[in-house]
Amino acid sequence: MRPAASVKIHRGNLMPAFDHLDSAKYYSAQIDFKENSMSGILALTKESEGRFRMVMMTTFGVSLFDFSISRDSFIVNSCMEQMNKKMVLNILEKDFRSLFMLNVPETFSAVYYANPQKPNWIGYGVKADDGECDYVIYPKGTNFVRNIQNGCCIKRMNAVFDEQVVTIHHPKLKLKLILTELQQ
Amino acid sequence: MKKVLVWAAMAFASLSFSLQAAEPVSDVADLKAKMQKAAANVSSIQSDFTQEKYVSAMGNSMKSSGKFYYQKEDKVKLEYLTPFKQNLVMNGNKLMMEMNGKKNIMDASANPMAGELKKVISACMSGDIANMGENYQLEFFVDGANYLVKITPKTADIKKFAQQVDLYLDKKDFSVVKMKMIEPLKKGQSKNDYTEYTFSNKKLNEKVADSIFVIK
Repeated sequence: MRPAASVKIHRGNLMPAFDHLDSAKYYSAQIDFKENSMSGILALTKESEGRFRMVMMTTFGVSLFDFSISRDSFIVNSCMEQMNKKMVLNILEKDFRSLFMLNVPETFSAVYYANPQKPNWIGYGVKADDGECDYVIYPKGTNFVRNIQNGCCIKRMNAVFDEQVVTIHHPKLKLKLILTELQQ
Repeated sequence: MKKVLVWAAMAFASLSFSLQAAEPVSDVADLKAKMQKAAANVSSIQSDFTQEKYVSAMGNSMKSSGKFYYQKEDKVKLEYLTPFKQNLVMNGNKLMMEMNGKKNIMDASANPMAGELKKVISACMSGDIANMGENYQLEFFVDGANYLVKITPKTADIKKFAQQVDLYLDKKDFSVVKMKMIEPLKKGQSKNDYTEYTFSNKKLNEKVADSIFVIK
């Protein structure tokens, strides 16, 4: 990957995978943490412009967490006690901020990257509110964000959007969240 | 993580609903005796089920469906077929959740919460609620073709997940028709989230293969 130029980008010119929520979307969610795994359903909806709601529940219907997030707030509407830890909430907040692109202002500077090995691929390196973040777009010519990378060391996160499957991976934490969109 | 699963499943086990135009049962002792007798005569149940999860924040419901199996004394399986396949199996002291080929198995004997969960799910879904224990307040109503048992958890731990559970039993055979769990009201919401199960096409006392309940 090599930097090509510095550019100004308007947030609306990129298309985060979760931004076009005309109505509630449901995903089967699998969380793998070290040797353990659990599964459930993640429901996402847009409460208002720039404000999103996410509810994760077990298959059997019990809510595990319920958050509202916007650029300037992160509200825990409910969260089961065992997950209601600062570290867990920080990880989830940071992940969802990146996924919804709530970690950058309306207009922001980015370093435009090209990759000779992947001619169909372009990337934007961004100084987000919560640290360095790369948004990768492909196929070239579209505005769909297909890969997000942020953080480093133990905080490193890599999110990949592949058709109806979203994989969010924290390799150092051995934490992986796999979301598969459910057709209602 | 395992604790999370246990608590989540525990919450699933505590069920409830609101009843309109239902009258309190006048002779509760008699009803309990009849229920116990009916439960004693049931060795197995197979049925279809639908599940409706209402999330107030989403403004709509999510529906799923599948097959339900019960084998006395302590085997239960919920086999979800739509919108995607997954399983909840209880067998003896074991409880297994399976999704996308991934299994999570808990030992109820080593975990009091998992043990309580297994007991309550078995009791509610089989209709054999006589031995639910003192952690739940039971109220009995009659409404048209059904009896309603309103189950209110007494302990704070369970109340975090379920404010109330309603169990609808068919008057004819005391089998479970519907079960609804109402969650506690969340911050900033005016309506409770709930999960409702409806059971249909019931077959009682037909042989259920042991392989249905295998946990490994």
